Amino acid sequence: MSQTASAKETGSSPATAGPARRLVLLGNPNTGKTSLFNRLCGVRHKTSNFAGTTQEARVGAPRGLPEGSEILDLPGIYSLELEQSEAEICRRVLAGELAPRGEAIGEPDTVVVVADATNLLRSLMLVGEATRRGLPMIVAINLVDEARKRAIHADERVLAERLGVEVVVCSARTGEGIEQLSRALAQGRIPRASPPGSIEGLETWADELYAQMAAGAEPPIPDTLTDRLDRAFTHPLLGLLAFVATMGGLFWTIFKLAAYPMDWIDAIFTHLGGFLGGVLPPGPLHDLLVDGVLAGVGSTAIFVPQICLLFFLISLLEDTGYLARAAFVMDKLLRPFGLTGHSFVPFLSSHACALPGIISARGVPDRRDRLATILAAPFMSCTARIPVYVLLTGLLFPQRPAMQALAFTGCYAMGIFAGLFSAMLARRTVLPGKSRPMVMELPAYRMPSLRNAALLARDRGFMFLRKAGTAILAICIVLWWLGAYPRTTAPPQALQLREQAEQLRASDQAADREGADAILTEADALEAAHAARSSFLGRMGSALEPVFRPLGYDRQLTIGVLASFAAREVFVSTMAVQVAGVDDAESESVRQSIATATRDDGKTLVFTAATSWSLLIYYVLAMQCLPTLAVTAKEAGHWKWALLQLVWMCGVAYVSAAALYHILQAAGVA
Amino acid sequence: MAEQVRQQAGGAAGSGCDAAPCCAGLGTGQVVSLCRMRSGQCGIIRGLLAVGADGAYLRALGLRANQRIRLCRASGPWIVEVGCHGGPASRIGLARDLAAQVQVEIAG
Repeated sequence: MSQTASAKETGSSPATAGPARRLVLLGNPNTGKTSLFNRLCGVRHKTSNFAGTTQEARVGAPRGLPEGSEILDLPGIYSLELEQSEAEICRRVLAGELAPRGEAIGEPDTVVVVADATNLLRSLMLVGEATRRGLPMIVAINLVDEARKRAIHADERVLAERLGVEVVVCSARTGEGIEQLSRALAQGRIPRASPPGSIEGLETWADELYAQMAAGAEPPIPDTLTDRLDRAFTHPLLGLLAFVATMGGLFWTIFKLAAYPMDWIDAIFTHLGGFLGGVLPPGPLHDLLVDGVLAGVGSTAIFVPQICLLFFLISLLEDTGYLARAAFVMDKLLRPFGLTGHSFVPFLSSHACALPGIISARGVPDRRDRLATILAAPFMSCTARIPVYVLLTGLLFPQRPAMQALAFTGCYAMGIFAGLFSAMLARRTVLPGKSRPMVMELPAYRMPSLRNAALLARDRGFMFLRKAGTAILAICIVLWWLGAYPRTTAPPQALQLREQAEQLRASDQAADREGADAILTEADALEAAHAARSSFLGRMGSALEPVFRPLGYDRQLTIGVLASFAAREVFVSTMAVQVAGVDDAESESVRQSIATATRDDGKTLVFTAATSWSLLIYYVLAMQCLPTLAVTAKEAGHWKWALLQLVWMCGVAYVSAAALYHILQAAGVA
Repeated sequence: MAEQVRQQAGGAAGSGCDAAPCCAGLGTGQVVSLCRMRSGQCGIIRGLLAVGADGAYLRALGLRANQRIRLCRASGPWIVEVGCHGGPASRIGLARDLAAQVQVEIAG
């Protein structure tokens, strides 16, 4: 294949209104379309959604075209005529009826159809469909390096001649032909060919055209390695073992590697808080910025490394071709619950954070399967639950790490089971109908692209940060305000302690001065606990205590549960403030205080065994993440789904926790 | 049955792919559903029983009449190589329900 083929007789020239051009990339999935987009635009792109949809749209500034020119990466489709949301988006974009949010609506100046050199016949069907639109067009035959390795040959000049458009052979992976493609972007021409309108006619047209292109070519080299790998990865036993090993490795890598940047982010926000705390005078602005904005954004931004790493690794796995095989392995396990193998990536992602998990449910083709996946995804134990699991399993099994680990694993298993059971129930009630049988292309095994993975991870990180800077920040500020106001005066006991400390400070004895520090710490704790009790959140806790009493929770635990709606892990610091007056739940002495804290009667422990078990079940099952609800509403297309998710998850959590608490009470476990 | 499915496919027997070297052994007339083929067997698709969205999707993936195929794996999932031997191939994984809807004339 030569790199560029132009028609001898050029088609009619396109009419462009101005120097800036608007191009779209159209192609089958797995043709390297996104790699090509990354080659043409690099990091000069932005990610948004197509207006009125949840479908992601990437718009970039291609090199070599006039300033202001844009190239839009359309979703990968097998046919423009399919009744799928992705195909409809492509149809509407080509018709000039739809554009990404913030972009002007209008017909594209040029359609760049990305064809797969290793599967040209199928790509020709899409080329034919695009040709029928009568828009200026270029054909980029990608993956030419792979085709060469497999001795697949086709003469692109035949295609250029038949269509009357520029045809460029290239490889986004190696960079071959990219310069030629960049130059060709300005030369889109209206095709002179007009393939038949019927599907049968188009198939015949593509068959004949391919036969001409491949005339005289030797048969390609059979791909026996793929056969062997497929046999292993889709084998009932081997496939499952490979899946478990891959996912285990994925999670291990995420938790191990993300820990470092998470610590750095934590340190940065702690320093920033200290700096702002020192610069700003005490008062409402100080508290809002340090305790509300900074603490809120910090507690969310800390998850960015996990999210980036998750998408980086998933992108690598997807590029290798393994994920499609894993989806089939999981299909068998998920089908009894009314789901398909497509749901496994969203469930997997949700173990890091439900937000990217729900967003990745876009890959589930059937709407009902997708909604069931979205509803079930937050049951998967996300990283925000981990601090709560650590605290409660530590309280339940002090000095018994093996039992703690067992309980910890049980929490994960229970989350998965509850999610699958809920999906099954949803498919039998609110989302009735049979799951569509699984069918998908199994792309060739390839070396993954680090560049693509890094760009995807960067995009996902920014998307998450944008959310952290808007909706999540707003939620954090509201919850901070509820927890910090109204301001109260210090309780008399704290005032007495402070006076006592002042007297000791005046003493000449070093021991007395140390004693003064300890007394001041005690006074701080008393004031913090008093402020927490008197705050709006504290009052809500008192008012709602009867609601949570059947679960074994007192006023303090109710406040902790309510505060968790900002983020689940907030429970730990809230309880530390409630019972110890400081939010450093990592400290051993604070943990001891939590373990021995008593209720308002001064006798009963806050965390009895029955209460701790009840809390553990509640935190595994309850929906306590407002940002997740916001994303559910957006991705599912209506707030009713978020409301259903909230009511169902909290309902299941409430009933299960109450039942367990009373069973344990009846069994004498207190 | 073979003739019936051939008619569904537009009476295309003998055209297009039949002329390719790998299909030289065809002509047995034995048409079976994909899920009754053995692993490693080759054939030509003679018809799709799937209609509606499933049928259109299979067709768009390349599982359409007169396409040469090779069955790479004969149990869940059924893995089919489309366009084998004589040309570029893609692999499609199918659940049994759909594999049963693809009618194939087996190579001799």
